[in-house]
Amino acid sequence: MSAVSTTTASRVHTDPSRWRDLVDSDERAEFAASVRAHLGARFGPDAARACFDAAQPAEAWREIAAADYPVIGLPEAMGGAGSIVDAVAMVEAAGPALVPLPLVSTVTAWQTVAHAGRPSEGRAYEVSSERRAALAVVDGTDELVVLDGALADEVVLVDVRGAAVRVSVADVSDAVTAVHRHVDPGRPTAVLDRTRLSETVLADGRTDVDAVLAPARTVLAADLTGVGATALDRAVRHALEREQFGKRIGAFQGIKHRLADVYVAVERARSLTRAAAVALASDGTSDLSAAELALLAKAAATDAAVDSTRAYVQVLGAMGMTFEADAHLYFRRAQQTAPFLGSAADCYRAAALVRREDHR
Amino acid sequence: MSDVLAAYDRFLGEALPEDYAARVDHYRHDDHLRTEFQVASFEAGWLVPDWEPGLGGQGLSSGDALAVRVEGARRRVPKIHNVQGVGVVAPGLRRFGTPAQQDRLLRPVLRGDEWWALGMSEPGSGSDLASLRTQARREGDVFVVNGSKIWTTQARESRWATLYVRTDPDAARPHAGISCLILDLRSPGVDVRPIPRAAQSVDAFCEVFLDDVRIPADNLLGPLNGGWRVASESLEHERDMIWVNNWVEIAQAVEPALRRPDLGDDALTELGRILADAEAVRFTGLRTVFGRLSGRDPDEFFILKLLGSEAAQRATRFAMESTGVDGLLDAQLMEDRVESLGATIYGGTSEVQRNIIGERVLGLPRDR
Ligand SMILES: Cc1cc2nc3c(=O)[nH]c(=O)nc-3n(C[C@H](O)[C@H](O)[C@H](O)COP(=O)(O)OP(=O)(O)OC[C@H]3O[C@@H](n4cnc5c(N)ncnc54)[C@H](O)[C@@H]3O)c2cc1C
Repeated sequence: MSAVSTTTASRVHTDPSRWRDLVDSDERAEFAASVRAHLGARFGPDAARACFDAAQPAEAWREIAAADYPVIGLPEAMGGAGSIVDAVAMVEAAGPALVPLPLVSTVTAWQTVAHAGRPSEGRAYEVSSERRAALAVVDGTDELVVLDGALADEVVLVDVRGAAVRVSVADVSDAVTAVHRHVDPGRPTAVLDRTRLSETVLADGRTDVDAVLAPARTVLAADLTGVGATALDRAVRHALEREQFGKRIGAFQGIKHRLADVYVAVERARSLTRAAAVALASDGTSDLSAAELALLAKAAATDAAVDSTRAYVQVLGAMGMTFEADAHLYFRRAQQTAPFLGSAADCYRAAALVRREDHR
Repeated sequence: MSDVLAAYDRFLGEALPEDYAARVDHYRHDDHLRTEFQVASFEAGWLVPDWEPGLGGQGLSSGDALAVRVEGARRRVPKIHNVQGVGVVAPGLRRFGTPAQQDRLLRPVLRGDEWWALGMSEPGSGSDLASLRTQARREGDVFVVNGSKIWTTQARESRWATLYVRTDPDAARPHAGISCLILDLRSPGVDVRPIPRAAQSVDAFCEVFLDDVRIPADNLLGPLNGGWRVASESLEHERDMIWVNNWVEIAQAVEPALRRPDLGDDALTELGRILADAEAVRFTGLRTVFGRLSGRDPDEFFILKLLGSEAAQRATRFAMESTGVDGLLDAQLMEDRVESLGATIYGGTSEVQRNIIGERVLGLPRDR
C-alpha cells in the first residue's frame, strides 16, 4: 500500500459497516425495553432496600430463570441464543432495577466460559438458567473475593498465575467462608476458600489474561453503564422539580453543567461497552483488540457510574443522605461493582499497555 | 477491502508522492501539494464523494462516503486549505443557492480556486450569535451594509464571505431577523485587518469592517430573514468530518508516547484515559451515523463536539507533560498545544455545549 503511515490509527480497519451492531435493531430495543419493564416492576429500589434487613430474595431467581436471562447471548452449544451484544443490552436494561440477585455475576461467569476457547474435552460446557454462578480471578492466595458470590451454585475460576490462563468451574457447596454485605447487600461480596473447591478445567489454551477477561469486563461495564444512566435520569427528574431562589435548580449552570458532564460520561461508557461487545461477537474480525476495548469500557463505565451516582446524591441535597431516598442504593451498587476486574485506573493503564504492545 | 476503498487507495497512490507516508508531517503542510490534491480530489470525485459528478463527488452512499472520509483522515491526506469553503459554504450554496449563484460559485469553492470566509461573530456577539448587529438596509436592488465582523478566519486570503446581517430589527425573536448575504470581499467599503494570533498554528483570523458596502440583492443566500437556518444547515454537513478528524488527531497526539518504554504508572493511566476518549469519539460518531441511517435523530450526537475538543486538549497536554523538559525543545508540540486550546472555543464553546446538552438533551430549564 502506498501512503499508509504507521500511526496508531493505521491498524484500524476503515470500513465502518462492521460496527453496525453498535445501534440496536428494533428487535433488540424491544427486548431491552421488556427487560427494563419486567425487572423494574419485579425489583427496583424497594427490593434493594429490603436487603438491609433481610436476606437476598433467593426464591425470586425462579422468575429470572423462567425468562432465561442468564443464558441470553450464549452459544447454542451452551444452551443459549443470540450474541454477547444481546447479553450486554439485557444487563444494561437491568440497571434501574438494582436486581438483588446474582444475574450479572452469572452472566459474567458464563460469558467468560463461552469465549475462553475450546473446552479441553471437546464439548461445550452446558449451563442452565436455574443455576446461579459467579466469577473468581485466581491471582494469589486461596482466599477468593467474589462479586455477588453469596448465592452462587457454581463458580468459574480464571487462574492467571501460570503462562497459560486456566478457566475452570466448580460447585460452590460449602466453600463460602464469609459474606460482606455492608457496601451493597443486594449484591454482596463473598469470600471463597479455594482449597474446598473441586475444579473441572474448561479451557487452558490462551495466554492473554486481558483477552480471557474481556467478556466479563464488558458485562460489568454494561451493568455500570446502566446504573450510571439510571442515576442521571433520576437526578435530572429531581432537578426539574426542586426549586430554590425562585427557580428550578436544573436552571443553575452548576447543576446543569455537572449533569451534562455525567451525560457525556455515560454515553462515552455506553459507546465503548457496545464496541467491546461487538468486537467480541465478531471474534477475529474486529479491528481493535477486544481485550483493549473491554478494558476501556470497564474503566469508562466505572467512571460514569461513580460520577453519576455521586452527582445524584449531590443534586438531592440533604435528602441524598437518607436511607429512604434511593440515591445511596445506586451509589452503593456502583461502589460495590467498581473495583472488580480492575479499578478504572488499573484498566486505563492496562489498556495503554495493550495498545503499546500492539503498536510494536 | 471494499471496492470503493480499493478505488480510493488507487487514487491516493496516483495523487500523492511516493514517500508521502514516510514524510507525512512535512507534506501535510506543503501548500502547493494541498492545492493540487484538492483539485485532483475534486476532478476524480473524491472531494465530497456522496455528491454528484461535476461537484467533486461520484454519488456514493453516505456509508461509503463515510468510509472514504475515515480512510482519508487515517492516512492523513493533505489538509484542505480553506476548509470552511468546502465544509460549510459549499453545502450552504448547494442547499440554498439560486441556479445562478451555484453556477458562478460552487465549482471554484470546491476546487479551492476561490476561498471563503465565514462572517458570523462580531465584537459584541460571540456565543450569543443571534444578537448580531451588523445592519443591512435594502435600497433598490442592493443591500447597504454597515457594521463589523471579527475572528473571521482567512478573510484576507478569501474572495468571498457568507455575511450574516440583521435585515429585520423588529423581528419578534432576534434569530428571525437575520439574513445571509454573499459578500465580495473586494467591494468598496470593506476593510480587512489581520489580528495577530497567539501561535502560528492558529488559523489566520481578521477583523472585517463594513462601511456602506453595497451588496447586490441577488447575493441573498436563502430566504430573507432565513439566515439562522442557512447557518445551522450549512454547518450540519460537516458534522461527521469533525469527529472523524478529532478521533485521528487525538490518537496521533499520543502516538509518540506509545513508542516509549519508560512511562510511569500515572502517565500510562492518563494515556489509557485518552485512548478511551478517542475510541469513545469514534464509536459515538458511528452510533450517530447508524442511528440516522435507521431513521432516528440520536441524542448522543451532542456529546461529540464537547468530548472531542476537550479530549484533543487533554491529548496535547499529555504530549507536553509526558516529555518533560525535552518537550520544550520541540516547537511543534507547543504549536499543537496552543491550537488545541482553540478547539473548545470555536464552533460553540464547551460551556455552550454543556448548555445545549443540559437543555436540549436532558430537558433542563433554560437559564436565560
Ligand atoms: C481559532 C478560531 C477561529 C474562529 N473562526 C471564526 C470564523 O471564521 N468566523 C466566525 O464568525 N467566528 C470565528 N471564530 C469565533 C468563534 O465562533 C467564537 O469565538 C465563539 O463563538 C465564542 O465567542 P467569543 O469568542 O465572543 O466568546 P464569548 O461568547 O464572549 O465567551 C467567553 C466565555 O464565556 C463563556 N460563555 C458565554 N456564554 C455563556 C453561557 N451562556 N453560559 C456559560 N458560559 C458562557 C464562553 O464559554 C467563554 O468561555 C473563531 C474562533 C477561534 C478561536
